[in-house]
Amino acid sequence: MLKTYSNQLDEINEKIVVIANNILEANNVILNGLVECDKDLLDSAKESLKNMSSKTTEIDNNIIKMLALYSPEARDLRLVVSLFKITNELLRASSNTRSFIAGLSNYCTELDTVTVKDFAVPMQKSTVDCLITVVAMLKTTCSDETQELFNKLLIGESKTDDLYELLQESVFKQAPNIEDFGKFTKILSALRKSEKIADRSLDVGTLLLFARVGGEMGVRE
Amino acid sequence: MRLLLNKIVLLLSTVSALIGLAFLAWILFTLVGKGLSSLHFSLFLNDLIDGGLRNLIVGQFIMAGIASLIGIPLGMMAGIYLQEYGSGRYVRLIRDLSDIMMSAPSIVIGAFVYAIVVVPMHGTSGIAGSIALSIMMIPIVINTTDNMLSLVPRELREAGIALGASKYRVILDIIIKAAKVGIMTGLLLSFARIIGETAPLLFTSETSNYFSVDLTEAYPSLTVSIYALANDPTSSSRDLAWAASFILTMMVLMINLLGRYITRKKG
Amino acid sequence: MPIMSIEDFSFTYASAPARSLSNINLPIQKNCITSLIGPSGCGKSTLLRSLNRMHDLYPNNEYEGKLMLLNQENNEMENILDIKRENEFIELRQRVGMIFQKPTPFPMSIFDNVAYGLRISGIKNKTELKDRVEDALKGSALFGEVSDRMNKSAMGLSGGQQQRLCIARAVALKPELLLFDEPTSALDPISTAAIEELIVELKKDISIAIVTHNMQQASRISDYTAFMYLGDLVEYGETEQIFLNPREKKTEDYITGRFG
Repeated sequence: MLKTYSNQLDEINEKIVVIANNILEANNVILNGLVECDKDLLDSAKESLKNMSSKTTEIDNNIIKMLALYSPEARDLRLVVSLFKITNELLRASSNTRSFIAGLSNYCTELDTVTVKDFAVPMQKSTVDCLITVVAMLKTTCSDETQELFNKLLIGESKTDDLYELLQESVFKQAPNIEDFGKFTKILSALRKSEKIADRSLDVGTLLLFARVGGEMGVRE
Repeated sequence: MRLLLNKIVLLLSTVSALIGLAFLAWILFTLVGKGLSSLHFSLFLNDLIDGGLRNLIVGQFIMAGIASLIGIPLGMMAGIYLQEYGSGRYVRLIRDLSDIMMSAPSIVIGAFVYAIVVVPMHGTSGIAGSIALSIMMIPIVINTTDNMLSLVPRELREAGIALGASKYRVILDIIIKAAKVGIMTGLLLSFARIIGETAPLLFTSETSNYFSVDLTEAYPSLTVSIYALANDPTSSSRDLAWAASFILTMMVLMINLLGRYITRKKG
Repeated sequence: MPIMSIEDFSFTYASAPARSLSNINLPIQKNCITSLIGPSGCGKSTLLRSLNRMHDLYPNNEYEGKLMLLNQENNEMENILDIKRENEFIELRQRVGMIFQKPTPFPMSIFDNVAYGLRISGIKNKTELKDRVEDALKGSALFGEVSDRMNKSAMGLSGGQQQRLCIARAVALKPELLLFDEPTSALDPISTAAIEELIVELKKDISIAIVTHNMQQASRISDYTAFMYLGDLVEYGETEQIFLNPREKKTEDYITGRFG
């Protein structure tokens, strides 16, 4: 591999790590905001997500240039193509985070502390853990470590799913009557974003597994 | 049908080869048989006047040596010219002439040198003999040099020029060195060729019974003497002729083997 | 300013019925790698060999137009087609070096090979020769492999090593422009990668023009690419633009493999 080619590949990887870290940061702030039920804190999470779209477009253009100039093969090809798809997944995760913030800001005070303490906070914590694992997967080049981290990610994402279901039951119990039902649906839809972010993390993880370990590419529905 | 034809052709070729080999074996056998029995050490210590072959062997080598001193430089320079400098029609003409000269009857060359050297000098001489041999040698050297140089890849010349070397430097430093083995072998083989010639020497140097280093007189020659001795009725002369033939054959064989050895070692 | 400017250049081989190159206009940028790509017979090697007047080895070729080489002392461009004297030719070829497709080590020691051009240019001092030979070999990533057998014949080296030796030989003269004529087409992939890395390193000090059959090679290493077809220059531009957004359809057809 030419030095310039491997340097450029590293640069692209680092830019993606930066974006993933931004999303991780935003979700951490959200977590803290949920714990304190602090609306301002929740809003400030948006800071980390600024200019996401233009950043991912820039990375995409760099990747196109690499494909045109270097005709990568085998592992290099898998990696470049995976990174190309990963930027999309991260962009979606970022937009999910924004919707999460928007939805929560309006309704977090409506929920009772039990729901928040017992379900919402752990769920978001699990999501944050998934994001941490993803960043670690982006940084490692060892295929064994990638496999290990992926397994951890699988567990984390399914935990988030389970917690969301419990959360859902708890919220429904709180809905007093049919008029407030609409409001609580909105609350649920906001909280569901956290689960979606975890899904996106798993998709990124699957793509990285394909890149570093091999097999066929398959992003689950 | 084709299979049968194959077998017939194979059979005929094998038989022809065997016939050729048989004659070769027969010649060698006879030569070795008749020659070895007359061979003894004193032949190398005495001159013909005393019944030995020393002056003839030395004389043959000296004339071939002088011929080489003339023929090799001229032939190599002509060969280099043909391959490196010449162009177009001119080159083809010279190459064709050289090829024709290679098959010129050696006795004609002898007659030619008689006319241009022996007559003005009022007599036969070693010089005339050497000149005749060199005329035989030149076309062979031209041919060898030309061919060996043509085997050197074009890129090697271009690489030398691309570094700023002038044409003659590229030829001297690189091309000749690259063709060195082939050229050396060719020169050796051309020497082996002329050392066994008789006809060019018949009227030019004749031969002599005495040891001589005076090239302005008739000069001792192994090949011409074999002819003379073979025609002599006395049986001792005949035996001497056999011994001389054997020695001559061995000389040519040794030089040829040396040529092969060099090719295999460096090639 | 480019190191070489090819202006309206045409070339006809001796007694050929038609021109091999027609009105080529092309700059060779300083300290950059410019690659010439195109199908067989398009004239890219012919063009490259004109840049160090290699065609002058064979008589009766015809040139038209100008080949302007930058004179680094007075910053002016001089037409190398005006060169007629022997010593000017020698000077040209020491400023514009060439590496061929087939590695061409001379039948002499590794040291003598690299020192050959230096000796021709008049350098006799043993220390200076030794230093420059070492520098050239280090600059060609070969020194480590041959430092203990500098006096052995160069013919014993492997194909990739021989090609690096040829590069060292040319680099020893500290040329301004190096011309590579398909330098890796006779080599295995690993030697090819090594030579490509070497060429990319070299462009820091030397401008480079490379003819290649291998498009991926051109896209990997060159800064500028020129696409030629049947003796014409079809398109010239930054490599990224040529391989991502070519302007001419012919260029696009060639790059995507639709013809040639």
